[in-house]
Amino acid sequence: MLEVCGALAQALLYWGIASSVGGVLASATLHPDAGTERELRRLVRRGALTTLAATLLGCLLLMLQLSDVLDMSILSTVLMSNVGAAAGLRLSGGLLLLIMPAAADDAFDRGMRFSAAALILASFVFGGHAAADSFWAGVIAAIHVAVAAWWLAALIAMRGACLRSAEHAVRLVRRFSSIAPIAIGLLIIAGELLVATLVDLALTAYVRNLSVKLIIVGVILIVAAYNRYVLTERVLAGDAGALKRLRRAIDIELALMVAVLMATAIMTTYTSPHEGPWDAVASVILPSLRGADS
Amino acid sequence: MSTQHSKISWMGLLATFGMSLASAHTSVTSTAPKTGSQLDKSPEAITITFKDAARLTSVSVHQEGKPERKLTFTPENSAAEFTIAKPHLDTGKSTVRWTALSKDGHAVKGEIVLTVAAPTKIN
Repeated sequence: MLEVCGALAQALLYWGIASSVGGVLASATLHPDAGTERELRRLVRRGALTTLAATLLGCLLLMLQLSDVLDMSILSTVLMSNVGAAAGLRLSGGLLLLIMPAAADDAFDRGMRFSAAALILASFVFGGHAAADSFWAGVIAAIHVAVAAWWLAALIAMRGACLRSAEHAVRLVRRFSSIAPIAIGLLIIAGELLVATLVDLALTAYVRNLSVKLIIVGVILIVAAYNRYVLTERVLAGDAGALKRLRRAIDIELALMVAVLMATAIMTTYTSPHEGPWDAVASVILPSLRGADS
Repeated sequence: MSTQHSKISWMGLLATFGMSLASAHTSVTSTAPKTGSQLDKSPEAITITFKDAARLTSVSVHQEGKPERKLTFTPENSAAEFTIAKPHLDTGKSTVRWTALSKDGHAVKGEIVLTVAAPTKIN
């Protein structure tokens, strides 16, 4: 039960990080209109709040998994570990984004928002499966998360713009389309590097779960390619009907991205790239068999 | 068109439920004595060796009809090998259960089942 709650907290954390960090990056790169900018600011604040809540919940659930009693000893064990370092960075970044005035928009405020997003991203260098492997694997994971977050926030911004104004939507779609091929290319390269670094070619539970995630990512890429090379071209050519179809296609991409976040949460909660092919059998099935014997 | 869209979205979400939920992270490579061992007397020490460095957070011994007993271990910080000195296992079957925080930030659990034989009477 605690692990199920842990997986849900992890999915919530990924959503919070993607919304807050992605909102900051999308706002800086897409040059949105005032309405979209307001929407992105709201996304950042809600994401920051979700990041704070999910980080605290995740730490509490981990402590409950580690010990029957919540005392100073178990608290210091978690705080002094990689989990504590990553949680500290996420809490600092999340708090900073939350206390920033929503309307603030000078160079200092933009710098603060970037710093806060960087703190949250830095948590992947200190905690998690990639960070446990090496510092550089952690850096690659942070880049992977940053680009995925930007993509998700950009889709949310474009969806909102499609609903508000065709003119703003077209401008946003044009800007997104000029950045997306590079960003998505970087996302795929970072993902491939992570797989090459962390995953052995053995059929572990982690590899099976990773395959599910990669299948969903494959479907997203097909939908994204259709959006980019068919619908976007029609939208830019002034086809009014194409804008409605683009909004629907963005809805699919967003739903599939939620599925990827859930798949990643399940993968990172229940399995690890650091387990061997028989570790799952040894740690789960064998004790159950012993229990059945007695 | 929209029906096809929702089908694709639902397929993506449903795919996540086909994932493996077998929980396993940084694992134990060996324990001494090994689980399932039959011993003449309580061991002087129990050692647990992990594949990667971990932080052991609790070790307790469970025996049928007796209250759970917490065991102390060294070291208290992150290490690949931990020693539980003088566990004082009673005669019969004992289950030593441990919990640790793995280097990738997950709670890992395991158990070592040991049986201590009753002392034989010398006539």
